[in-house]
Amino acid sequence: MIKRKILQIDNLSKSFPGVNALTNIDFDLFAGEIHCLVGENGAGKSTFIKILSGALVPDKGNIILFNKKHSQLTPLDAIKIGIQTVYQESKLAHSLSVAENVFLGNEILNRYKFIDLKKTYKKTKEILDSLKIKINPQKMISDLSIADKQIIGIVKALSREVKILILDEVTASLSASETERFLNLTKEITKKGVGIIFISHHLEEVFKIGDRITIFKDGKKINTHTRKEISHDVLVNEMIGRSADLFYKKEVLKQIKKGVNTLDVVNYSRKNIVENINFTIKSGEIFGIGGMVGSGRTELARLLFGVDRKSSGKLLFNGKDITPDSPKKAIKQKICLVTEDRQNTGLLLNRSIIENISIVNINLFKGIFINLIKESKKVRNLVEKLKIITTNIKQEVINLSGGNQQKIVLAKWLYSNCDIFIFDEPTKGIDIGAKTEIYKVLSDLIKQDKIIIMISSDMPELISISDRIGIMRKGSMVKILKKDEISEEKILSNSIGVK
Amino acid sequence: MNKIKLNKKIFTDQIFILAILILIMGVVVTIFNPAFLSIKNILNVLQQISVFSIVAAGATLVMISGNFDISVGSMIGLATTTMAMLISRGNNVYLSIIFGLLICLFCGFLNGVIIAKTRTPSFIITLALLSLYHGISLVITRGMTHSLGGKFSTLGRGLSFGIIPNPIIIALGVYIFLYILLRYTKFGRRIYAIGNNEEAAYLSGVNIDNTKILNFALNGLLVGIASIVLLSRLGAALPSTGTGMELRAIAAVVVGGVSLSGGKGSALGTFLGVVLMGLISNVLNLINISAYYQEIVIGIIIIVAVVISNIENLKRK
Repeated sequence: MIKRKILQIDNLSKSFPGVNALTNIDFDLFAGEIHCLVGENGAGKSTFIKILSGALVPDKGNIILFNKKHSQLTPLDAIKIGIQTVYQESKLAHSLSVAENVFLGNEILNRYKFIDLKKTYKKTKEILDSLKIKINPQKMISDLSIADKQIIGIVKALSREVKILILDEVTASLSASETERFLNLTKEITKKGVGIIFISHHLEEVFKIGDRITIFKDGKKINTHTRKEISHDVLVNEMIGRSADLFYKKEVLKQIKKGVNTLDVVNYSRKNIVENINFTIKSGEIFGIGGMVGSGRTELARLLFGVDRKSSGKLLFNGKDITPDSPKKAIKQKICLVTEDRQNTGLLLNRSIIENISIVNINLFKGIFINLIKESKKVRNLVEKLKIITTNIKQEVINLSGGNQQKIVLAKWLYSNCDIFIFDEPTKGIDIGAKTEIYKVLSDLIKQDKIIIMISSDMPELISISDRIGIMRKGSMVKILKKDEISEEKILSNSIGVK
Repeated sequence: MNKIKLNKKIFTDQIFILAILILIMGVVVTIFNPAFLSIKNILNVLQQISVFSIVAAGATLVMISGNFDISVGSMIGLATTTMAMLISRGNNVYLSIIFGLLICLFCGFLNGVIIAKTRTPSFIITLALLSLYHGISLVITRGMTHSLGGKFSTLGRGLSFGIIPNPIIIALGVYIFLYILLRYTKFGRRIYAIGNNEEAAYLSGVNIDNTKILNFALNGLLVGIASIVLLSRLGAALPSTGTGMELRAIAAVVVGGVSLSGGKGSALGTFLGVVLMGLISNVLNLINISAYYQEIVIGIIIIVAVVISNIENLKRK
């Protein structure tokens, strides 16, 4: 079967003051094809998409869409031609129903020019049915899971005339089974002849659904491969420009004494959310927590850190009761929580790097004043140690890349010199380079006899980093896998409750 | 590349824009009326804005934390009338003004406690308290003006070093206090953090409730200082003394670069915002525009100033 070429890009370039964001990019897309785009953060993927969706004007190059040549697009052009983009965080109106969101800005009206809700529901149901999605069109968006929200974001795009669908990191916050569902949906869509440009940091996904894979690095196209002709190793090599293992190999730390410190989590419960959690961690190991999104992992972390009220539970550090009932007290007991959602719960986005890193630690200064000289010295050390890329530590963190932002969150907690570290999805949405840095930090912490708990939805990461893995399902810890028991199948089967 | 970025940053910097606006205004007015640049007139302008600037300093604290206090005007009314009644009835002047200060401190504290402990929006709570405080002062004064009868006028009308009006010295002290508080103290850091992202601040161990309560109480203290200076200057008070000052203070603070959603702002910015507003009034007086038209002009100029100083956000969209 000969496929029709719907998009061809020749020699596309775009620069910003001081940066060549894209240099001479060639790219093409066929109808019904999934063309994956991979590259580290800052490789130029976002700029490329923005040009395609009309948000940015290229410096030079041609965009040939359905045999028609364009030197640039406006957002309206893009929509008219049938290019739709779905981003990592879908922009939905939470207080409206699924159907109302799908047709937002494109409302179905009755003859009096009022919104025809009945028809809106019916049409939405038709679209959902055609994609085999089981979501009630009358449900409020705020009642949906993150995965369902993402799916509705796509359905919304599909409710319009769409020929080219761009999916930008849409699976970043989904658990394994949800991702699976999502990828199936994507394949379903291609059957309608839609061409899909799929961007993801998760290479397994790319290998699962991509027809072709294009690698960007530093604003240049490195290569385009068909999926069959390329291996994981080659792909990673081309992405980062050096050879590396897809699975992070933890340093073998033979000299580490296990169990200098011990943490006992005893009977932690919160009504209807977390039930009777018990486990013990010794320093020198990383205790991973797996399970689906919504299985109570994040809720458990919040309970341990004293954020939410618990109905029962005790935390013993080397036998001593340190149970906190507020983050402030948790910090006093040298517990820290690196939260999942750095933008909403981790960072003060409009404040400087200094203020972000030292917010936990200003308490270390005696009296009411902050010693600015001491503070900036300490912050500079951390910025250097974690290789945070910045020209000025007074820069607002909102201007930094995701990886650098995550390092700021880490720096904040490293500064405070905790005994117990709880990481909730520490590498979500960041590139391989930044991930490696964060894994190095973890290794360092092990050497310092810290207690480490890490929640992760990234299966390869969870498997390669953890010494033991506790699996959460429906608020309970259903299984703790020992090192030699850990496998992808075991984690999955325990997470979803299949034996 | 760095250089380009740096220059851009300066030109979109709110404080820089404000300074330029003030400079341009000064130059233009001086051309038309050389009396503007006299030391006497400049001191006059500063004296005019001194009470207002102290109120704006308090508003800066509250707004950086992402809150509003619109009960400030009636706090001033309550404090000034109470002090005036106490003094006019022959009570000790110092004890009377300390009592006035404590009233404002308590009102601020109460605002903070209700807002922090009930987790309700500060705007609506202080709107309710505006009514409550105003009502109390109406009840105790029976709506009448109370005069000091010439007592206690040095603070508001006297001069320091033979030339500088006392209120200017006090306002200056308040701004030095504000600058140090925002820049060098843990408390200052915390209110920026709360205003920027309350959830993140909480998870970083900031005691949100206590910080908010302290913040509102500090605002009350500053309002108390403003009340004392104002009473001394006016020599009399009635319940409506101070009415509307909270809204003008909010305007000046926003002109000075504090974000309405909190997390941003500085002592210097607010100070320049207040100076700009004071200059506008002064200029309108110098060119003999009637008080009625002045209100209209001030409204328009505030819009222009806020839009100009907000230009960076406009560009972002």
